[in-house]
Amino acid sequence: MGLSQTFSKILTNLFHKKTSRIGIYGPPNAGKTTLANRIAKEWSTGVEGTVSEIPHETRRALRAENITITGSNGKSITIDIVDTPGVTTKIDYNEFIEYGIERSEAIDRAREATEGVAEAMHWLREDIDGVIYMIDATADPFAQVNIMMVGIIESRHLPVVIAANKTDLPDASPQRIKTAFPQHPVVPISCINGTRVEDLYEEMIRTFR
Amino acid sequence: MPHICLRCKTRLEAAPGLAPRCPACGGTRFAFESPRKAEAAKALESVSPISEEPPQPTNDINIPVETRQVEEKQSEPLTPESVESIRIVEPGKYDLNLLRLAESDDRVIQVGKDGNFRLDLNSMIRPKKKR
Repeated sequence: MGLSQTFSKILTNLFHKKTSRIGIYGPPNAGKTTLANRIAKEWSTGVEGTVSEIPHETRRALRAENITITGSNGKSITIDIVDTPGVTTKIDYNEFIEYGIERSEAIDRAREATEGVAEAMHWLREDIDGVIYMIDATADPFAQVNIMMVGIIESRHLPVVIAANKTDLPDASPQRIKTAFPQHPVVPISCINGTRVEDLYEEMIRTFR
Repeated sequence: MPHICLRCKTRLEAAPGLAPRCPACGGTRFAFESPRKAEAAKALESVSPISEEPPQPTNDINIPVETRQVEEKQSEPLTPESVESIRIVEPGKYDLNLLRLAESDDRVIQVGKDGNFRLDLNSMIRPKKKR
């Protein structure tokens, strides 16, 4: 390496903010896009994804780049947030038909969702630096998909924060999630009304910094 | 003796009388038709007309022709140990092997409507990012 290259590298390290790519993963309808939208709205440029009750509304990853989140102690992280399609072991077009979508469009949606999940799983290999794993706190945290996904994330040695979402609902139980995954930080939140989302930001700074 | 009205082409099985008039259009001019031609014409009439555009075989999923029950595949369920990363049960129904998708060098970039999927060969030969 020449002298000018060394000097250039020192300058880059001094002034370049390291940006981590944080993927929001989780089953369909856990609230991933709601969280991504909230982060984008509170810390950067605006809303990115469409939120819907229909599963697999996010069929292609959405990305909000260069978001700097600052904690109460002044520490901050700069991240790209990647909102991924809901991970699942089965995709069936009949799920969409139940929501009044026509058969041909339902089949197309199922195909796109499958491509989206395959793509998001591939990114865990090389494109993602950390994971926010979202679980609906009213659902069973021991579901096969959660156990598999947390295992896969651990095998990739990726830092993970588990968000126990939908605490605004009466049958939500963040404690069940803490019991299921005691080895990871679990933050109870309600993305829809913003309850304790600042706790999630603090945990993200601690875990991903 | 079969005759054909020259005005409206109506076939009369009996010969017209002395003051012939076509019962369909009132025409008065007729042509004689030989019995053999009359038989051939009758045979043609009994065959349903052929549509101008014969239906083409198609894989279009939009055609609602599936009135039969699709038999559920009695294959082994997809498990993390399976070598398949995606199983296409039928168009619109997919089993995904998350472990295989996360660990395999194959990169699925498109699931086809015809039961195939495309792989990104470049991603298989790229060196993996070191952690």
